[in-house]
Amino acid sequence: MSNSQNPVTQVDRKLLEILVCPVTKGPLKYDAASQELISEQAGLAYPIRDGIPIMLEFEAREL
Amino acid sequence: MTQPAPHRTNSEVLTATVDLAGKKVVDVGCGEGNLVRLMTRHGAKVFGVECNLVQLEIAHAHAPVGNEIYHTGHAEALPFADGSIDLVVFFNSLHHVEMDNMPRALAEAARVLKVGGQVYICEPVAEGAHFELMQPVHDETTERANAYAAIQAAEGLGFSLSDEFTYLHPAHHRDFEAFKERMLRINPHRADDFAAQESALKAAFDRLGVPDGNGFVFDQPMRVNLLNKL
Repeated sequence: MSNSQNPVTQVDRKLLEILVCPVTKGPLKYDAASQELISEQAGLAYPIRDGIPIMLEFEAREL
Repeated sequence: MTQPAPHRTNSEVLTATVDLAGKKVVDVGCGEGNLVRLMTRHGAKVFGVECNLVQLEIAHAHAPVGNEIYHTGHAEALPFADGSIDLVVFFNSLHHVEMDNMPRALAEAARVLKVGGQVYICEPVAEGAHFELMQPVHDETTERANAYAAIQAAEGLGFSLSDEFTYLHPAHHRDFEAFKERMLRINPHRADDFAAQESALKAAFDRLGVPDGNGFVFDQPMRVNLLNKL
């Protein structure tokens, strides 16, 4: 992957105000250690790969 | 078409039609991010959403022009909060949504938009030199008609239909190989069709292309629909 930016800078708090779980439309919590966006309502963790949040239900990890 | 449409480029029409400065914009089906970068340069905060990972990686590998952000996602389940967005753009993308899901994709646009926000839908009309060129492998007559029908039905989803116009976009391809490479990148699932029809495609390319000194131009009529969120 050619993008060298730190993904953490891309998932800032302002973004999380807009970004929601595509399944429940509920809030997401950013887990910097696992590089995931957590939807507690849906029980799903959406991975962030190379700085790109993968906001797809079938790509998410079940909690 | 009842009257001849003017020659205009896709990017010029988009930037002349909608306000971008300071707006929060979602580009649904952003592909390789050309319009994401264009709208970012015009002062918008743009979120590109794309389900084709190959294209999205190309988009993301581009040097950022501002604070644009890309997500993998689907038009039918947008990952944005209710009433958080000023403009939703579907550029050459609504007809790629499965027919049964088109109303849901437009309903999602309505959900994420602020009241008074807009949807900009730009779709190729199923006619013209570029359409003829693609027809052997990519006859989207049905998909495009379905997308248009879905737009017409959007009034039931909390929109008013505010404007509709057409223009001729000059689609440019350097040569047949460049055309083929681009088509397969956008539509990897059509590789077998393309291989089977290659000679017909080459013949159509030679017949329809108008040389411009730097390659070949194929006119593609485009239709823009603007919806206002009520």
